[in-house]
Amino acid sequence: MPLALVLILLSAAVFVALSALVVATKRQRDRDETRLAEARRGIREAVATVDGPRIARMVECARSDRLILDAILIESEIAEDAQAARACLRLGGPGRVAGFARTLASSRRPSRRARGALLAAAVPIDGAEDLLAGLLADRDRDVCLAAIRSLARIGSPAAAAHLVGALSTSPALRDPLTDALASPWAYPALSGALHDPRHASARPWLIEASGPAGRDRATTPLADFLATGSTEERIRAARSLGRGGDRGAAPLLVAALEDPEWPVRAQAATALGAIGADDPDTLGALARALEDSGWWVRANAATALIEAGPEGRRWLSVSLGSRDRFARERAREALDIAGMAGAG
Amino acid sequence: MRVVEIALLAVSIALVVYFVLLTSSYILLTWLGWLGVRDYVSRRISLSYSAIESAQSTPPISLIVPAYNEEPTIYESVRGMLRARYPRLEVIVVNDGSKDDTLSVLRRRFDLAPLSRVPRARLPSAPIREVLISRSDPRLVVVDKANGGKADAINAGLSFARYPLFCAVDSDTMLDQDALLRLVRPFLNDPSTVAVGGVVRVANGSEIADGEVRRVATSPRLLPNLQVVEYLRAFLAGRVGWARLGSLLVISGAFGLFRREVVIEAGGYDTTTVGEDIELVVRLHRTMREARRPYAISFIPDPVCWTEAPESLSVLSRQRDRWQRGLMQTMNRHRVMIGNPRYGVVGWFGMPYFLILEGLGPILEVIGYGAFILALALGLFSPAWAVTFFVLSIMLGAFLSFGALLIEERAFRRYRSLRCTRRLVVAAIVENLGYRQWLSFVRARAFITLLRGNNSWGEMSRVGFGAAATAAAETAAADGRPEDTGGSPI
Repeated sequence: MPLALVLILLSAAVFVALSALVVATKRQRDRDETRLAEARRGIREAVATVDGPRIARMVECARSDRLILDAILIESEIAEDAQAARACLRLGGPGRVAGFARTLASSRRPSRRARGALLAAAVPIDGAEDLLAGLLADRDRDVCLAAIRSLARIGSPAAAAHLVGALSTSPALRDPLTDALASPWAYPALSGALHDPRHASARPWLIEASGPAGRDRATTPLADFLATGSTEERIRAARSLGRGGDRGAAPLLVAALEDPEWPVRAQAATALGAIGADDPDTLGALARALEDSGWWVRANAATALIEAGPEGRRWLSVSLGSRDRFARERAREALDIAGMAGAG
Repeated sequence: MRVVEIALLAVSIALVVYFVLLTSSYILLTWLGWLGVRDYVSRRISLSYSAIESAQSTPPISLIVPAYNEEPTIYESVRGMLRARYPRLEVIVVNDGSKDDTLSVLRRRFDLAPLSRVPRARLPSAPIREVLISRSDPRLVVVDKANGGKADAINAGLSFARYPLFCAVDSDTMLDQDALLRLVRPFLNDPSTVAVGGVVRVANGSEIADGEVRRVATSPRLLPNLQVVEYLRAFLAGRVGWARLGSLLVISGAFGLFRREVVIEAGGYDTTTVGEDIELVVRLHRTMREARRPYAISFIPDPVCWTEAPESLSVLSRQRDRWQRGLMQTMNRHRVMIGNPRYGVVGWFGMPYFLILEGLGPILEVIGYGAFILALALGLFSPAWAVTFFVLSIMLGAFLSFGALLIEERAFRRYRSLRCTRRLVVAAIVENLGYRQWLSFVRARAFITLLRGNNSWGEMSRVGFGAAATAAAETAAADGRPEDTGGSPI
């Protein structure tokens, strides 16, 4: 059957061709990886010797060679001496890099726009904040996240202003924006926006970022929100005070343990544990919170008592004799975790 | 005789149509899978997993590990899981009435002490004997219970899980260290995400130490490598493709991340099926669509969980038999969704596809082979035509297998040595020359097993949550105050 033989030979040829394609693909990717590693090594050497011309050549090559561009981005962000790398990359000619970053940022492909966002902070370039602000509104989320990271890396007042503005205009990005703003360099912008009616819709997230950004400077404004804000604002104010680490906020958080909304009480309990408050009033309030009607309030109060050290554990031991079954259970579990289970 | 000839011809034509539909679907999925993987890989440079690790908004995860008779491997597996790179993690090992020293090993190696853990939920399960916590690493909690099967064990773990997301992993699997950081990303990008699947890869032949895969390699034996190619095709092409269509029906029971509240609302895992993983995902689709709630179920091709694949045909046969029965049970249980546009693309495409091509397809295939051979013997087809069909079907299958290998080489490159690549190439060829046909036979036989009522993971009777739950319910009633277990401020 000549047709059958032809088909069998054809299928064998197809197998051979496909096998060769797989092996060829593997070898090509091996070469790509080797080139990437060499490019990264080259950048590190150029940074170590502050070799301006070499860096300029690499930046020029990056325009047409994605591997060299990726090597630049990797070394400027995750390498041990990323800051030095970024400083040296200026030697590549800020004007050329700026143009390149803008070209990337206006690409139709999201992966290239994200690279443009990272490059704008890697160097950094003049007007980077405005370029990145445009990318904050990109339709692709990964591009937006890259822009947020880059603005946070730049850390200038203009960068903070753009991130604060995006809290109001980009609800889907509020969590990563809040994380980015939770740093000291952003506090002036945050404190200015807290009572600005233009940012009313984003106020809960401004509140959340203010604590870790401002630390004890933020306690007073956050106290107002904890006392008089909406439910969402009170929840985030409690959390923010915990992340701010100011022990002086303990009385405010103890008062918040009586809030009518259980999420506020739960966050207040967590915050008390986070700031390490261990005075008798605080510990007594936390012990009473073990009898709260909210599951998370009880759980967080027990955790906070554990975190308060020996005094907190003493209160938990007392709670083992509580008339409230839930309080007894919580106390027993917390003490078990602390390795000091006792009879109840 | 004429009737027989017509019947044989009809079955043979049906076989051809089945192959055309199946291969067309696989080609579509492979193409979609390629697009999805290419898009994912092109973004990798801009993804920052260290940012996810340090972000306050990253939700904590409960890792639930059902364990039954895992004495030789449980310590290394759990140690590997505790080393996972993730900011807030708890590991809940559920000892499902092991008959060996699984629990003793855990007690001794992790310094376990009794814990009066308050459960967050009340999913029914076999009685809980004891809950323990590790003094050396308080993130580890061990729930010791009477035997109830894997689904029952996961439900027990869910009841004690604290965090809003949970990941069910098999006790004999190994996670890549940053697997959870990668797997959680869809939940951060889209709050409506309820489940995310990750890739399960075959660890046979790899160098394993301390519960981790240190160096990836292929086995010198053919059977595990056949499964490597099969898994690559199923995960990198198939599941990525299904996720892009919005109709992902399967998240592997060995590795999936779920939103705890949604799963508990849906009733937890079903303990009466052997395919609890596919059944849960289909049920999630069903409950979310019936409630008209926006949701997303996605798949990430990058995070990896490693598992040891069967190295004997008998064990592999039992595994595939179970998977097929699970699929058919799920199709039957949720048959209202099949072809029903109320359930969107899942109803009008996903469910019919899985029923016809994956569920009933192997039966048609086996019958079709027999009819084809008989028709050939009776002279209804010319041998040339038969050979043509046979060769074409093998070549198309080979394209799909090699397509998966190419995706792997372009995108992830876990197999570094040329020797491994050569072994996989050989497996991709051999896969289409008997292995897939044998699997079809095994899957077709599973249908008979199912009709006989064999449910080899057992019909475990539910006896509620045990004495503790009964006392708690009575006391709560006496208090006049139900325990509020809802919500989470996290």
